[in-house]
This record gives sequence, C-alpha cells and structure tokens, in this order.
Amino acid sequence: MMDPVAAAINRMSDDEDAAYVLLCQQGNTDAFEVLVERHQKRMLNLAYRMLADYDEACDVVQEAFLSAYRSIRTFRGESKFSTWLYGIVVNHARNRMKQAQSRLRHGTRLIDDPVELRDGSQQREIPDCGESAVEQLEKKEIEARVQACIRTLEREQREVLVLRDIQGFSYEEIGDMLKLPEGTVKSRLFRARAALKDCLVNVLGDLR
Amino acid sequence: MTCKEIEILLPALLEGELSDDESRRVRDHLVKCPSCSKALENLKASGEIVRNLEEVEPPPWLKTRVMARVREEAGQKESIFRKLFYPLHIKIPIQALATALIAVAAWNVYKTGEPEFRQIAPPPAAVQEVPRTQAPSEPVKTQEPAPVQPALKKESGERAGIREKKARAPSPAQVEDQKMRQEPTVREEAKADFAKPAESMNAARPAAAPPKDEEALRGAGAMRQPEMDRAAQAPARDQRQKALKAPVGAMAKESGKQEAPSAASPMLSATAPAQPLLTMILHSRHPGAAAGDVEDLLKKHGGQAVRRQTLEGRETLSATIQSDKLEAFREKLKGLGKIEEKPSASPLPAGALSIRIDILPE
Repeated sequence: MMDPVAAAINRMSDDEDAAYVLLCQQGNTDAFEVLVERHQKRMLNLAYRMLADYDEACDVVQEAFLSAYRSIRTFRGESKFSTWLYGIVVNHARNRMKQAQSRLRHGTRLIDDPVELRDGSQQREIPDCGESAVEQLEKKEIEARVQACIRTLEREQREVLVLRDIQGFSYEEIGDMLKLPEGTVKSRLFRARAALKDCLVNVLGDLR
Repeated sequence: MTCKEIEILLPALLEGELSDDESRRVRDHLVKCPSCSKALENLKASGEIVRNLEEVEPPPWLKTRVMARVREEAGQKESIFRKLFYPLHIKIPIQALATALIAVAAWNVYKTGEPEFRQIAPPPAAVQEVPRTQAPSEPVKTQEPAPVQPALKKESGERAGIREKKARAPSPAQVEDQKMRQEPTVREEAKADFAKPAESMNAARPAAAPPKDEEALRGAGAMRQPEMDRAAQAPARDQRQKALKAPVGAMAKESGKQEAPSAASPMLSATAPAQPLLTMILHSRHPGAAAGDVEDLLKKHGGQAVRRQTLEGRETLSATIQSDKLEAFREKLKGLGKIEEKPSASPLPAGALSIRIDILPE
C-alpha cells in the first residue's frame, strides 16, 4: 500500500492547480485569480443545477471561492484541489438549500418553487447554433422541466446526480467531496436516476 | 423477480454493478417483459438528457467580485501589521503601553539589584575636609574621587567573596574580637589614614545621602534622624551585618589597594555609621534590658543619633557624644555592668565622638 505522504505528493504532481495553490498559500492573490478563472464555470454549473437559481448559484460560488481563499493554507493535497474546491461549493449549496427549505416551512418563497426561466439573462442564453426560435423555446422548456425534476429529488440524491451525471466526477471524487464511501454514492445515484427517470416520463412523456 | 424489483436494479445494470447472476436474471426478464425494457430505455434516455443539459456561463462580474473581496481580505490581513506601526490609530496606545512596560521592567530590575546598585554607585562629590583625627603631618588629600569608584567596584567583587565566606564565618563575637586584634596591623599595612576603615564600612551602607545633606550632616557631626531611619531599614541592616561579620582584613586589604586615599572618605564617614572612635563592651545579664538603659543614658548625656541594633542576641548601640560628657557617661555605664573599652584612637579627640556600645550577655 502506498505511503499516504507519497500518495499526496503524487496527487500534487498530477494536479494541474498545484503550482498556483502553492503560490496562493504564500499569499499571492494573482495566482488565486487563475484558479477562479479555471473553476468558476464548473462551480457555477454545479451550484446552479443544485439550486436551480442562477443568482443564488452566483452568490454561492462567490462565497465558496472566499471560503477556499481563507482556508487555502489548510489544503494539504490529500485530494485534487478541484475536488476540494467543488466540495466547498457543494457544502455552500447544501447550506443554501437548507435555508431555502427553512424559509419554505415559514411560508416564504423558495428557490425550489415552480420553474421560472431567466429569459432576459444574456449569460445564460443558450448559444445560437442555428436552431429555430421554436426549437430554442422547446429546448428551454425541456430544460426547465428537467431542472424541475432534478429539484424534486431528495437533496442527497440530487447532489450525487449532479456531481456524477451532470459534472462527470468519478465515484472516488464524489466520495471525497461528500465524505461518503463509494458504495453509498452509487446506491444514492441509482435511486436518484430511477427517480429522475420516473419524473421525466411524467413531465415529458415517453423519452424514446 | 417482479417488475418492481427489476426496475430497481436497472440503474445498477447499466453501470455494470450487478453480479453475473443478477445481471443474467435481469436480462432474462427484460427479454420477456416489454414494460421493463421500456423502463430501461427511458432510463438511458433520461441519463442522456441530463448529461446534455446546457451549461450556464458565469457572469463577467463574478470573477471581478470574487477577486475584489479576496484582495480586500488580503489587504486587511496585511494592514493588521501595518496598523501596529501606523502613526495615528493604534501606534499611540502601543507606545504608551510599551513605555509603561519598560518603566515597570526598569523598576523591577532596580528593585532586584538595588543593594548592588548602591554599592557601586559613585560617591557624592568630594568635599575638602581633613578628618579631625588625621595627623597634621599627613597631606590633605582632597578632591580625588576618581579612584573611588573603581575601588568600590573592586570592593563589590570582594564583597561577593565576603558573602561566600559568610556561610562559614565565625560567630559575631569572634569576628569582633578578631577584628579588634587585626585592626591596627591592617591599618598599618594599608598605610591608610583613619578614614579608610570607615570607608570600608561605608561600602556596606545602602544609601549615600545627597551631597548637600552630607555637608550639613558633616557640619553637625552626626546623622539626622531621617537619615538614621533610612539607614535602619532592613536591607541596610543586612548589609551592615555582612560587613560586621566579614573579616576586617579583607576590607582593609581593599582599602590598601587604593593608591590614593579618597577625599570622599572622611565625608562619607561623617554620614555613615562611622567607625566609632570608641567601642565599649558592656557585659550584662539581660542585654535587652540593659540596651534600653544605655540608650536612656546616652540621651541623658547629650548623645545624638542614638541608634540601636539587635544582631543575633547582641545589642549594639551607636551614638555621638560630646567628649566632655564621656566620663560621666562611662561612670553611669559601669553601674549597669562590667565594661571594656577599645579606643580606636588615642588620645581621644575633643568634641563629638562617635561611640559604639556592644552589650554582650555575661
């Protein structure tokens, strides 16, 4: 079995962010900017799929980056930096969802309320790939329903589904982020997929 | 296996997580069950849809805002150190605190090393004076304070040795006797004037009075009461005890090291508990009670600067008395017990005489 220290060194050498992380740990904010540039999109998508709210997702990403900056000196390379970073986003998103559920219980509007597409948002506009307006509308509608279905999943199932099926992380990485054994990740994922399929069949009809 | 059970296993089947046996059974079922087959197809399509969801783009301001906050925080961390030395906000309290700390530390150091400081302190300004007991033929040595300080320092070093010796020093009475025996010889060896032994004694004195006071006191030929009070304080007593216990030879030797006798010596001897011109030893059954009587007698006979000390069961009184009252005093003293006299100078000079009465148990 590999020595944990050697394993950490290997991971660090494999990690394309390692050099910048080291600079950040020495107080270099420019290096952190590079990391923000590299990871902001994936972090935003992760938060957005979990929260289903673009603005909330942006807030969560900001908070996650700040948390990461504050605690970057504690990062010892036990996992890849990106895994560590996305774990922070998941935590922040999770906390935001808990707050939202709490607001729901007190009768306030929840981010999980029926879908509202952000038609006016340029940043989120789907790139024009030669699709007709009808096709674009249809696509947005489908996406909104898929997003609504994702939101219906239990929080734990939603996390693993987003991380695995949307963001494409490995089971090992997801286990690191959520601090869960791989077996648990898989069983949650399988339940999430089955539940999502049922929901999509309900809202979109037969998928084939 | 029911369709419900099969449907639960479908995600694992697609992921290849089923055992061979389970996988074969599920596939067998799927061949026969169109509903479950359709469920499998929908599951595949569902996964496809999720994977193909459009990605959202981060707003351009996201990175800007993140970095603005990061740099703000980094700046705050830096400024914590900078503010410590920034002139306006925090520096003044820090300076005040630092000053207070230094003052407290200095005071502590002074208090701790007070006796040593006093011993090595430079003597007051020299005053031209010839001790009354000095032989007229001897040159008047005045205003040569320079050698005094090194000599005193040396003495301080010697004193450390004396302290070490203190542990195995003989009893005070023995010391006294030894001192009496050695004193003339030592003086001769040291070729010192009369003031020198006084100076040696003076080194043990904790506080040197300011020159102005010295002058005044010298004029009076005695110590003032406040001066006496100060001198009678515990540290002073300790120092004097050390001096008394220490072999006189050592101190005389120190004095002998001085090439030029200090002009400050006579002056110091005037304010210090000077080497008495006359030492009287009174043997009494009750030294404590006798001391009170002697004190009264001294006061009755015009004794000034009467000072009483109790050192390990021995009562010692020192005072200044006019020479014309000495005889009457001596007679009265004889009434209290057997007395012995050890004059330091012969004949005793006229005027104010410093005397010491040691009261020893019979």
